[in-house]
Amino acid sequence: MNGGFLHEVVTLDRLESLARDAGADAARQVRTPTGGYIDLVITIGTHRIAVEAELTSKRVANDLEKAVSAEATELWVVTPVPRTARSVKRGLNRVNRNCKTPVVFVLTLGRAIQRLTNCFSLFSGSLTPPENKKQITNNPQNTKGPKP
Amino acid sequence: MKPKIPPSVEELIYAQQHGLLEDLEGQAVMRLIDAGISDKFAQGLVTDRVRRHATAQAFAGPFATTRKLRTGKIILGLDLKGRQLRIPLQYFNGHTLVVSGSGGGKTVQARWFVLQVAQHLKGLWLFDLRKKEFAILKPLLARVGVELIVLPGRSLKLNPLQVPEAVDPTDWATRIADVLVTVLQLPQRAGKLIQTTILLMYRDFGVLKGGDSYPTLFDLRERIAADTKANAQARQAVIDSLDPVLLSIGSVLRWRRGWTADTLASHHIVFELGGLAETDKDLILNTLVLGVFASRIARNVSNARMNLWICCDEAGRLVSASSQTGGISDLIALVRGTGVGLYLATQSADLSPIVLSNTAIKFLGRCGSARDYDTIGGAMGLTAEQRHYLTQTLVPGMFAGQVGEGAWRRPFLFRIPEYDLRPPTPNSIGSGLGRLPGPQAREPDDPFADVAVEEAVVFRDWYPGIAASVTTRSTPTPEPATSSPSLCEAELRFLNAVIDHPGQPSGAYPPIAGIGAQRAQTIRQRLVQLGYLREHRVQTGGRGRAAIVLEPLEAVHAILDESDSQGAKT
Repeated sequence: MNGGFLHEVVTLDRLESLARDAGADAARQVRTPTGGYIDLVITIGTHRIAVEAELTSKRVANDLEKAVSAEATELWVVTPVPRTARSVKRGLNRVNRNCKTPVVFVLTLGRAIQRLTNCFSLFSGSLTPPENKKQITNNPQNTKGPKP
Repeated sequence: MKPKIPPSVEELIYAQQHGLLEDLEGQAVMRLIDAGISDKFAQGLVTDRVRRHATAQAFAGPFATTRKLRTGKIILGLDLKGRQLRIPLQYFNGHTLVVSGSGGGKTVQARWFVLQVAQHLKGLWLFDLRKKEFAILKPLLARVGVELIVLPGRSLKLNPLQVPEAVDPTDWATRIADVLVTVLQLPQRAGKLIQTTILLMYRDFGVLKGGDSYPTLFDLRERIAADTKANAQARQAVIDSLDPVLLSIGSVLRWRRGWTADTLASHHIVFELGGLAETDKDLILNTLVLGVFASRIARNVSNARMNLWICCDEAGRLVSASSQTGGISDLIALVRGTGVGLYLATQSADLSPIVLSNTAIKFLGRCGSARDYDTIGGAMGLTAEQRHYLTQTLVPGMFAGQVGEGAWRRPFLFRIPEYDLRPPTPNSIGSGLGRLPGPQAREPDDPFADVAVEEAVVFRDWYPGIAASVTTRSTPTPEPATSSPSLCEAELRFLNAVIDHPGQPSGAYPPIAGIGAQRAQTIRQRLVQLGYLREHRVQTGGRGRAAIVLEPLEAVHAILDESDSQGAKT
């Protein structure tokens, strides 16, 4: 959804700028086959990250649906403060995930920037998707990895 | 050995004490007895009256059944037999104290008196210190031709440093310095600093030479803050105490020339101060009451007939013995004799001795504590039997009273008759503002057309830390209310940095704008307060505290364009 200063300028502009600097393709307001719009889609090679900036936990189920329909590899729900992130996580736990869903990360803006920086330096368009994935999992900064 | 008094003499004394021989027949009997003619017929008349009165008294309880209090414009209420008890209006000039617990009928009684008093007086001030109880009387008083003006506390235009009519500025500086020390609970040394500063400002503003543009409390605060040679503790005490008041009721106090107490004293006004802090209430109340008093004293008004009645509902804090910051305790002894009557209603008998000493009329309603009955009962001269009787007899709306004025001093019981009040209409609040002196909406026949107020425009957006550069008399600038406050060079640079680098943590802007971190913090807070920026908390880092991200609001562009155009002109 189109949001205000916090949503657009602080969160999405910054992530988009960083993603482009890292060599990825970034597109705002990408339409999904089901008719929804994803705030930001970052693509590098075959890896596709759907980024949704959320100030509340009300729309997380919708975010997940959009990410599934867009066949995103990962869904990043980016929040301004940890409190909202916790709330979003609780909201996600309540969502019934019957179909195959992407890996979901709930991150504050700082964490999202950190992850973007850590991951994208390891991606390469010359590598195949499994090789790129291997790059991420072997990276010591990502040893914790996402929760399934 | 004490000689035994004959029963006939005892009866005579009883009859005299209870005023049973004051009619024509009684006076004839007294003349006979004085002449030494005490026959059975004359004695029988006395005995008959005494027995009837004693019998009636036995049924009435320990309180005197009075034949007095039958004349006067004001109906106190009804006695136990349903007869009206009346007093002259001028009895209220001796001040009234009402002590009654919550629900005891204080407000009902106050409204009852207001309805009777209003039409006979030139001025009536009703202070709603806690609730909003008096606005409801507006339509009722309108029926008798009295316009009751309801003023919310923050709509007032006052300047405590404005010298009242006919008062010498030097005298007023001393008085108002004392008030500020009392109200703001300042040390004595701060009082001296305040007094000196006020006098210096009066000189700079030309007040001592008859000028009518006065310094404000904002000027006082800034001048003391800038006086680095002043005693540091006293200076800091003044600043610490004045800042909350100026922030809270700055709109009330930022007038170089506001409404004078004399002007207000000729109107019927409800001051709704319920939403204000206690210090703010004290300051407003003292400014008004002291202003009226000082002006009347300066005009040699002494032992005048009452023409202003001030009623304070829920005045517990003002008259409390434990909290002497209100200042009413000091004023109550002074305003007597200047034609100002005070009516103070409180819930408990935690009363300053000065208040007890200076209230001629006392009413005691239903209380919840024996201490209240004892304290106020002691001041009214109630016997132990009467106090015990009251604890079991008083109901809401019933009071034990004592009228200090006049010849009748015995306590009596009375109740306020039931009366209906229609609910106030929506336009009853604030509709009276047009009658008071103000810059707008002056009608040609308005008695205040010649009375003008002058706003200290420089303090319109004042906040602590950014001093307005005003130390001398300013000429009134007719600045429109919609004009934007001026920003300094550093503030404009900060705004430009925020516009050029949006979404950054606030700590990123000081080096961009070329200002220090501490000053940047002050500037940021001011710009947020002025509505140019909005703060958001965002976790921009991987760990640690959330950063403050600044969002420029629409007003920023207008003021930056304005400053650019001014820069281009120069």
